[in-house]
Amino acid sequence: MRSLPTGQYIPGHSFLHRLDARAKILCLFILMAAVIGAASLWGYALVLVAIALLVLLSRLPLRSAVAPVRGVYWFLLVIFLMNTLFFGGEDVLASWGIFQIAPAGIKQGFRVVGNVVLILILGNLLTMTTLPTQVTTALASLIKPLKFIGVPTEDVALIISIALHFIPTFMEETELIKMAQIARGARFESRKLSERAASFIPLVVPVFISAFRRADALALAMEARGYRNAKNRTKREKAPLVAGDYCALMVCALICLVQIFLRP
Amino acid sequence: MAPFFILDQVSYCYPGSLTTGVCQVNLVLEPGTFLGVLGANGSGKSTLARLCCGLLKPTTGQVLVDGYSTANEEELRYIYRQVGMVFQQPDNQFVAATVEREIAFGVENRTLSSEVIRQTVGLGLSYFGLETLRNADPHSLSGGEKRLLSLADVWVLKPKLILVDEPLAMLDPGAKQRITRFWQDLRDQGQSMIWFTHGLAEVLSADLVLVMENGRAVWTGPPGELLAMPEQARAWGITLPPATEAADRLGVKEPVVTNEDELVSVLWK
Repeated sequence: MRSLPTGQYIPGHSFLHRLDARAKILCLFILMAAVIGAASLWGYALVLVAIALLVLLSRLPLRSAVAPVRGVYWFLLVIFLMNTLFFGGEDVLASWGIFQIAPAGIKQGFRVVGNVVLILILGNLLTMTTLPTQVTTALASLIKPLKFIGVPTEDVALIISIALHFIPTFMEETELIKMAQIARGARFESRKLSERAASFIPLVVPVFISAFRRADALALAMEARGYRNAKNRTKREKAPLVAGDYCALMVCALICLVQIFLRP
Repeated sequence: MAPFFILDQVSYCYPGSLTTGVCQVNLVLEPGTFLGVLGANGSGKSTLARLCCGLLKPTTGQVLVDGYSTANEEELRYIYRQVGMVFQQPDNQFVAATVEREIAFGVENRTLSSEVIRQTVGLGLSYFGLETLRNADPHSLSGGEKRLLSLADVWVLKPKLILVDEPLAMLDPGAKQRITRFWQDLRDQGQSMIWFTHGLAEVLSADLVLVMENGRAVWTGPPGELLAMPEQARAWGITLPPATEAADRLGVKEPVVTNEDELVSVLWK
């Protein structure tokens, strides 16, 4: 059985798919703030309902929406244990050396794990309903105000766009180099961690060389097509945000405000 | 017609290298000329191509486009508008995430109005039959489509001279035929072109052929004359058309054969 895609765009026509990517990214940040700011059961209930509604609005299967959580069980366990064992607090239930288990620590562990899970689901909803190209275009648009403090936003946007764009190409190339080395007897599946780490060294070198070659070729091609810097280019006209985008932003802002009032 | 493209004693030495990449090459092109540059791998073709469009500056000599020199940084902007370059590996030249934005990249560098850019890109998409792929990722296209896109990238900029580096390499016969048709259309429209390759068959319709060996221009003349000297062409690392190769192996010296039909007809006689 094929595993469910994690974070990969799934085409659709849901309300979430139709929202402008800029609005979606802003909503993501506002809701992340609401999640991190949740400090009571009611607060968590509020963000949980909001996220459940978002999943419904995305028309994605629930399993796809929560798929990234399943891949990080060990990570979640580690952060739970770290928070539980090191947080300390009153009414210590048990202690071993520097480790202490207290109700406050257990609560903190659950809180951090809950936050990570909810933020993962939110991020997943964004990437599953938005094309990577839309995300990069939206990011380029959102970082524009940084221009006033001297950040070359156009160049940064182009760098982000090219970098994201070349990730699949490099992954494909890495896979090809790996196959070529396996065909010549290299072993990447050794049980010993040291052997596995050592086997990746011959893989890293050609991948880096290839990356630098590509970067050089791309720079030449850009120059040949008249690229000097991103400033001296025609700016693309951005479609304005529509009523639905503003509504989504307002609802998210409202959730954030309510969260503040729910804090004990 | 006055020459608009001149290579005057052009030499180039790669930094840190003891040998010269290109050595004292002279060339004068009139508008509308189709020049084929032939040579084996490492003969200096790609270096010459980069010198021609100003991406490399000659160590000695000069490259002049409409009287502007590539050595002058301020004149380069003008030269980039007059000379377009289609690189050997299309994958390495794609900048944007969609076909449409890829074609728009060069036009946007000219700070034209959004309306003009939209029209130009639309024209490029329809001329090369890429409308249905407008939102596709350039890296996900087939080999033939990638070549078409890299050609469209340059075509929309309407350069006076197009430089093409091995444009038919690693393509299947169908894709080769499709791409060749577009190149032929451009030739028919009087587009000036320099085609860098090691296969003589690709430049049989050229007005002139220049052969490179170890960075030097060792022979210049019409492609027909080169066909008549197969031994020498092979020694220069040039791939002859399959029919010419077969005729030569069969001992047919006259008339010079360029394609399968001519070979059949000669053998029939």
